[in-house]
Amino acid sequence: MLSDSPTTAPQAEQPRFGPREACVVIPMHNEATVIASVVAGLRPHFSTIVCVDDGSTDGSDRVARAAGATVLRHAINLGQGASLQTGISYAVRHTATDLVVTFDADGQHDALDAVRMVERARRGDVDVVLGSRFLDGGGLSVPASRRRLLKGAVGFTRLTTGLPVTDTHNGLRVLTSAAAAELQLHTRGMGHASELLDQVAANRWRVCEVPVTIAYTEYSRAKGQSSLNAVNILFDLMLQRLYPVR
Amino acid sequence: MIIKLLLLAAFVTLALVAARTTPSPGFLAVRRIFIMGALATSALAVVFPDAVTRAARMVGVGRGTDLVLYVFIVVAIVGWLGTYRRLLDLEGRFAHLVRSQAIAEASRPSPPLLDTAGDR
Repeated sequence: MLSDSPTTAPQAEQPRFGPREACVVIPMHNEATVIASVVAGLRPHFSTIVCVDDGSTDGSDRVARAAGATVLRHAINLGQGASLQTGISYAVRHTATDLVVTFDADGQHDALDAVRMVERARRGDVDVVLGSRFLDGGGLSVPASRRRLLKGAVGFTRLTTGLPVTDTHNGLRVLTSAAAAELQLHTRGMGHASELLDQVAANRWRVCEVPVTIAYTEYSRAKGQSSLNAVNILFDLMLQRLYPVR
Repeated sequence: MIIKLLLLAAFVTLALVAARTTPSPGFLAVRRIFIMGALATSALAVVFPDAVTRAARMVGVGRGTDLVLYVFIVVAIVGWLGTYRRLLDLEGRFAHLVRSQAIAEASRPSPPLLDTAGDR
């Protein structure tokens, strides 16, 4: 991927890739065993991959860097929402990206789904493309208990935001850099998925969903959230409304 | 009973204050005046214990100690909410700091990226 434009960029931060490159942001926390394969799976399709290491203690940052990712390291653990926000801020301000892709570190997403979502976003008629595992009758591979919980979250989101979404907690998304620059995630924990959709609705961004597959591996299931975490997410959301942070 | 109205009013006010006040010099002044007032009232209550009982009777509470307990609960909740707010604010600043540092110290991939041999 040689860039043919002369890169006489004034800032050292400017990337050497041509314009119109999508940038992938991966929040990670102690994912040393899988992050290399996740980054390797994305490398053929994306030139800039940003891993945000949320205070890992297992050397995830070194593994990710060796696999070809740019690594941003939180000195301490701040939560997935904060990691996403850090990565998105970096992508918008320090790379020549026009699309920001968010991708989970645990290997449950398919890089080809991300590619299809980027192609969808390139048509230019939407600001946000969301991955959905339930679109077009999908989601049969989703464990039943998880499915019930996710449906509940979908109902809640539709009620509070009016967005006609089918999957609210999918880590695979594409945002135009204009939208990404406006995004302000304050919920540092897992409530950020709902917070993001709240902002999509509040900013009246044009949104569409693309069906994606989720690989429920032994690893991702072990890493995944306990269903009881839904209570925490609800609580975070209410606090968010009660105490808007600036 | 008057005390019921007073306590309920206190809780409603608390909820409103907790939801919308932002730290400002004016707010700090109000808080300081409130604290001074509370201290003065406490001192008076120590010197004239009967006054507390009389005040309690006026608002429909049987004993002075009960009134003191009620007031204490309200004040404790105010303090707790204030501390919680500050903690949230602090966490927000803290996250901002950590985030800025992470971005400032971004490290590029260690091997050269694909197709970029000689590009370093």
